[in-house]
Order: sequence, then structure tokens, then C-alpha cells
Amino acid sequence: MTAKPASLDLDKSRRRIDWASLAPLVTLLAIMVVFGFLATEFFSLGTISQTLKRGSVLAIVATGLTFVLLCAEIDLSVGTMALFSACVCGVIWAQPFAAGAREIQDQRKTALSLVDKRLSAERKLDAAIKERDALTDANDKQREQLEKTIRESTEVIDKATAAIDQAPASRTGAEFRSTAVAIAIPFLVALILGGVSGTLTVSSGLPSFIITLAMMYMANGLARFVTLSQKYDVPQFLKELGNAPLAKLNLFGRTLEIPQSAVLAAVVMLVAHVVLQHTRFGRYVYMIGGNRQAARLAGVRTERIVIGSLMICAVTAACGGMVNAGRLESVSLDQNADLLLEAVACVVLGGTSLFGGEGGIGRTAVGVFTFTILRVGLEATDPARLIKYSWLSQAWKQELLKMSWVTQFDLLRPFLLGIVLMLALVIHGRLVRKHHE
Amino acid sequence: MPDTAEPLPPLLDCRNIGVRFGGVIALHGVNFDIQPGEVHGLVGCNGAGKSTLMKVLAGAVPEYTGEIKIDGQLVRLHSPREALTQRIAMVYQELSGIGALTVAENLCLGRQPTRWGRIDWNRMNREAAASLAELDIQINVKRRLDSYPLVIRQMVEIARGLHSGARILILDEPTSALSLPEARRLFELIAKLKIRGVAMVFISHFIEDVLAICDRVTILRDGRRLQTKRSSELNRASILHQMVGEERESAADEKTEALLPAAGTTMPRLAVKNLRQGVRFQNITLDVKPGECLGLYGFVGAGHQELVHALAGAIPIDAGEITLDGHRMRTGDVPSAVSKGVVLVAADRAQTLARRASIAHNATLAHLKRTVGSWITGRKELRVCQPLLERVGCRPPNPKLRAGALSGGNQQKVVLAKWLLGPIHVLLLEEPTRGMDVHAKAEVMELVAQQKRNGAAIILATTEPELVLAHADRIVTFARGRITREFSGQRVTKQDLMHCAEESCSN
Repeated sequence: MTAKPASLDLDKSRRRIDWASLAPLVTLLAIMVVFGFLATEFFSLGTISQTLKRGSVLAIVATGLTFVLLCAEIDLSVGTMALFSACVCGVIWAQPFAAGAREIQDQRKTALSLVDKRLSAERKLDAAIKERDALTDANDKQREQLEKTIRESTEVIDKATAAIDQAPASRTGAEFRSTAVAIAIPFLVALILGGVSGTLTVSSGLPSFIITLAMMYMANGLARFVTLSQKYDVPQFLKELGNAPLAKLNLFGRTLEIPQSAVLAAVVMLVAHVVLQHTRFGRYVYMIGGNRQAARLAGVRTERIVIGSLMICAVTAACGGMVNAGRLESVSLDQNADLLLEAVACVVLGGTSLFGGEGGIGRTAVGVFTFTILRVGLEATDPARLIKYSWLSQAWKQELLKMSWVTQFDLLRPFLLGIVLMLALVIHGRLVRKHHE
Repeated sequence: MPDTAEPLPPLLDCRNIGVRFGGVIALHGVNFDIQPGEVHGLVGCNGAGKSTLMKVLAGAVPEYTGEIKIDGQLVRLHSPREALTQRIAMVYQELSGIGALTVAENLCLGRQPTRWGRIDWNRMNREAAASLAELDIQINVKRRLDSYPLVIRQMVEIARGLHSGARILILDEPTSALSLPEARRLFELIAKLKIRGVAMVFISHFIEDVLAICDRVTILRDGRRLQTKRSSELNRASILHQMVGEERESAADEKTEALLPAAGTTMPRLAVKNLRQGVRFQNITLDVKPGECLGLYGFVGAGHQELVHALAGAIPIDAGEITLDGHRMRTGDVPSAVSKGVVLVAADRAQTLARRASIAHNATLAHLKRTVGSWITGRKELRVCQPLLERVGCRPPNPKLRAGALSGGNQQKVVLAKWLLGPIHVLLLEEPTRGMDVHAKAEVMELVAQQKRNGAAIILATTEPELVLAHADRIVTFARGRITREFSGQRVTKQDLMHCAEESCSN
């Protein structure tokens, strides 16, 4: 008797489209459509490559942050944790034990630059030989000069060949070991610091907001101290990870570069997704965010789960920081300044609740795409060009092109980014509230 | 009748007050009046309508029928603000003062004296100290409110009502959480206010307290006024008798007496010895046998509800020991209690259910490893939950639904179902049927009875005497954090229980 109306209700809810959970995806599509009209050559493989490359660091960091936000906690230290880990990596790489590896990589780098030099020398040699052979009359002075060029070029080629032959082509054991140490230690440091903030959060009973705020300053100070505000080199492995494409796909006659960092981000997200959806740890993360007291009264050791989440977050922050340093080919204190807030924006844009319990990695991926495409699209948008190709009369165009918002559009970009973010979040927030009523 | 004998016109006169919440009628045309300088007691069982009537006076229930006259003037009380302008102030059972502010700030909240637009701290402290001194309350008004004990906070709350110029003070269960000397101190204050001409309504379960300080007493039952009499014409037995209403036998679901079976001789499953937790409960010694239901009865704040939380490890204890089948248990450790089958269903479903998570996620929360294993998939989980939901009779039995979409009774079934997936040796229940309709109550208690038949020991802590009378094999009454009496192998009535729940106050 009571079952009937209930099942009717169920059918109704199944038929109704759940706009609240679809909103992030709709936002993403809307942004893509708008930039399709506004931005220069938006729908191109180049845009895809650029989005993947720029979004990967953010994606890695946002993945860890998703765990923490699902627990209804927050980690404000991700930005400086990323910086500190990268700095640790750079400083370790500069230590004497890694000197051998550094030398090998320097040699390889020199060899690489010598390849170009040799190529130009060979061209020069060929040209000189051709010219000399073409000389018929006894113009001794010119011949002598050409002979000199040939001698010099040959010398350059020989030297370069010798250097290239000397440089190790494949990775050596020493290089591998040094790189592994330089990357493993920052991970370990981040793991410990994440554990410290987690332990203090659950033992002090203070909000993680406060504890990780303190950790944010600590990591920043440590980064300054270990680097002494100097710029440090990072292992070649990270540089390749940050810049080199893993694959070049030929699509419709153009090449699509898939960056290694994007593949790494995808793997990190996939693992995180599996952990959240299919392990007990992941389920407890959700339930702690849903109702911490209920989880505690059900016998879940909530403290351990919270500590674990903060540790995961610190480790992904370290990973993101090192990939970013690799992308920029060195590590210095000005990196990752906006990383924290951008990562939070991504997670929230995807629809993960700041109050815990709802969301997931898939949503974070949508959020990262939205945020990155928004930035890439805004950078590719040029109002002057749009005005030029518009149907306005020439006089109007002249007037518009002189206006300050057109000439100074670069300065307006962060403002527009903020406007779009605000709109998207407000609309989503309203939909969610409606959904719960 | 004493009413007509009163020479003074009433300060406040309510005629025919009716309130309905949805389909439930909370008040059926109640008459109620207060004389100036009178302490008027208001008594009745849970759900008799005491709180509803007082909420009407405090402006918290705007949709009421009937009329309210103050000094002969007809008024409508639509909001707490209007009640305040009519100089009616309410002191709630749960403390409403702001602990982090100073006493003076609390007293002057909302009407701080200002000087050139800034708060005049000196004047505020002076005024606050003066108004407290008038009531002979000597405390430092510059200290934080939460640095003072409960009774002082309650007195500050009363002083706050007076400071705002109230002529009518409504005190809702002011003594339930106070110790005996503290309660005496409060009574002294009430006597002082009476002399100053302040009228007070005193709502309480403690009949002795009501008789001691009230001039007249109104007894409510099932939303109706039974009578209003001078307290000198009443005694405790007659009040209890009227509150409970023995003559009424129509409502079969509301048991007013029970014959308890004689205690068995089996070894106790769970034994508690000299348990103490701060001021919440002291010297608690009791045990419960397998297949037995032990009822713990007391008023709000008596300590029996906190006791079951302590037994489940949810709150730490200060002293004493808990043994399960002769083995000492770790205290203050929920996971270890759960693994030993000592499980709690707390009263507040905000503490037991993640409303936005699905029913399945809630149901498997406690025994995820045992039931679903290490690799969790939706399909495995559904396979566990579907039969479980049918077993407990959850409607609709759809594990994917959000738990918050269920009705209260069905939510409680999900909470119980969570424990059914693992071993249950001791089932601790705190107000398991609060806010449910008769049908849902019966279904939930049938699930509990099943566990009892399976040999689990049940501890049922409640403030509803009917519930323990209907389901307990043995009943222990609590008052102010102590055990007052144990009923076993005898006939026990609702009056007996209520009598014992307030015993320690009168002794």
C-alpha cells in the first residue's frame, strides 16, 4: 500500500534530468562553443595539445585535492608543497653525488647542440668544395681562403663527431640512480609533511584550514631556505616529462602531440578513480565527507582516513610541482604561485562539494578541462581581430579599435576569467540547492 | 474554583488556544492564564502540549487559533520579536547564551549602550553588574559566559530576560540538568523575582520542584487542559495520576504498566561497574544478559542516554570498567566495540546516517570488508543490500536511493540494517522510535525483538516510559546522572517510573 506511491516517485526521479550533476559538463560545452566563435583557430589540434600540456600539472594536483575536499577538509599547502618538493629535487640534483649524472647529461646536451653545428659545418664544407672545384683560373688568393674554410670545417666536424661519439646515447646506471634519488626524496618529504598536517589536524581538533595554512608557510620558508633563492637545474627526465611529446599522431594531415605529462596525469587520475570507487579507503573518504559522526559511530577509523587523504594530496602536489619544474626546465621560487587556488577552482568547477561527500575524479577532470580551456581560449581571443572581421561599418571599426578595452585586452583577461568562474559556480550552486530541496 | 476566587485581573489570559501541525492536533482549545507575580507550573507527559503552548506565547508558532489578552488587550503574537515587545521572555532548556562572549555582552545582546556609535563598554559592564547584583548574583561580568557553571548561565539568561524588561518569564525545564544545590539556588532567584512582581511559567518534569515553588499548577494531557489548581490543593500522586491518565485504556500502543519477568540466573553478557563520566553520570553499575532487554528510563539530562554512548565507545569515560562476557573491554574505542558486536543506534539520525549518500553506502558502512570485500563494485553491494532491505522492510527497497529521501522510520531501519550485516552481541538503543508513527515504531521494535530472540542483549535508553514498559524485561531508572531504582520481576506502572526519575531531587 505504501510501496506504490514510493515506486511512482522513483520513476519520476529517474525520468527527470539531473541538471545539478550535469551542470559542470554543460558549462564546459558552453565555454567551448563560445570560444569556437571568439578565439582564433580554436578547434584545432594545436589547441588540444596546448590544453593537455597546460592542464596536466593542474590535473595532478587537483586529483589529490579531490580526496581532501571529499573528506570535507581542505589543504591550503598544495602550492607551496609543490614548490618545496621541486626545490628539494633541484637541490639534490645539484649535490656532488649526482655530479656524474649531471656531467653525462651535460655531455649529451652539448652533443645535441653539436649535431646542429656539425650539420652547418658540413653544409659550409660542401659549398666550399664545390666553389673550389669550380675555380678554373689561378686565383690563388681565393683558393687559399676556400682551402682554409674547408680545413676549419673539417676540424669542426671531426671535433663534433668525436664529442657526439663520446656522449652516451642511452641512459647509464649512474644517471638512472641519481635521477631516481632526486625524484624519490621529494616524494618522501611531501609524504611526511602531509602526514604531519594530517596528524595535527585530527589530533588538535582544529580545522585543516588552519593547520595547512601553517604548513603552507612552513613549506614556503623551507623552499626559500634550501634554495637560498637561487635557481636550480632539474634532471633531464623531468624536462622530458614536462615538455616532450610521448606520441605524435597524424590526424587529417596534421600532427597531434600528446605530451608525456598529460599521459602521467591521466594515469594518476585513473588510479585515484579506482581507489575512490573500488576500495574501502575510497568509500570511507566519501562517507566521512557525507557524515563524519555516522562514520565514526559505525566503527570507521576516521582519523586514519583523513591523514591518508592529506598525505595523498601532498604527494600529488609534489608530483605536480616536479612536472611543472620540468616543464619550465628549472626550479625557482616564483613557480606555482597560483597553483593552490587554481586547483581548488578546478575541483569545485567540476562539481565536487566543498562540504564533502559528493564529487569524484571524473568531475575533477571536467573541472580541469573547463579551467584550462577557459584560459587557453581567452589567450587566443583577440578583440581587434574580431572587430576587423565583423560586419560593422568602417567608421565604427575605427572607433572601436581605439578603445582601451580593445588595446589593453591582455590586462582584462584575468577579470574575464573571474567573471566566467563566478557565473559557472553561482549557477551550479543554485542548481545543487534546488536539487536538495 | 480557585480561578474565580482570584481578586486580580490576569496579566495574561489565553482563551481557546489551538495549534495543529499538519494532520496532528497539538493543542485542542486550551485556556491558560497568569496572574501578576505568580509562578505558574505547567506539567504533562511528553507530547502533552506544554512546549507548544509556551512556544505560542514566545511567538514561535504564528499559526494558532484562539485569543491572547495581555492586561485585557487583545494581542497577536506572530514572531518572537512581537512577544518581546509584549514583554514575554523565554529561557530555553538548551542554553541559548553565547559562551564565547562575556556575561555583560550576553546580558546586553542586541541593545548594547552606545556612545557616539561605539559600544560603551564601561557603561555596559556597569549596567550588567548592577542588574545581576539586583538579583544577588555576584559574578565578574567581564568573564566569558562559558567559564561559569550551568546554573549561572541559566540565571544570566533569566537576568537577560528581565534586563529586556520582561514581565512574564517562561522557564522551560530549568532544573533538568542542574544538581540539587544548583536547583535550590535557582529557586531562591525565582522567589526573589516573584516578590518583584515578575510572573513566571515553570515547565518541568520534576513534580516535586513544581509543587515546591509554584502557586498554581496547570496539568495538560494530549493537548487538553485537565485542570488548573493551587499547588496547595495538589500532591504528587494526584498530579502523576492525572498526567498519565490511567482511566484511558483505548490506546493500546501506549502501555502505562507492565509485569516484568523475574530476572534469570544466566551470566551477564555485558556488565558495567562504577562507571563515571564527568557530570553526565556517576557510579553506574548494571548488567544485561543475553536475550534480555534492559530499559533505561529517565528525563532528558538524566545521563542514561550518554551512558549508552559511553558503552559503545563513542564518548570516553573517566572511571569504571565495562566487561563483555567476562572480558574487559577497551573504553572510548568505537571500532573495537563494533568488532566485538557492541553496537549503538543513536537517537539523532544526523549522527547515524549520511543523508546525501545512497542507502547502500549507508547500509554497508560498518561491515564493508566482511560483506563486500576489498574490491568494491556497485553490483556486489547491491547483491548484499537488496535482500537486507527486504529483510528489514525498508520502503522503497531501492539501495540506490539517497538515504535522506526515506521517511524517519525507514531511515531508522537502514541504520539498524547496517548492524545486521555483522555480529550483534549487545544492541544499544537510544530513543530508537523518536518521531515515528505507530506503524513504523512497531516495525522497528520488531526488528529489535528479533535480535533479542537471537540472543543479543538489548539496552534501551529512552525518555518515553511507554517504550520501556512495552519492551523491557528489566527497567533501571536514572535521575541526575545516577541510578535511582531497578525494577525486576514485579508490576510496574508509568507513575512508578516517573516517580523514580525525579527521586533524587526530593531526597
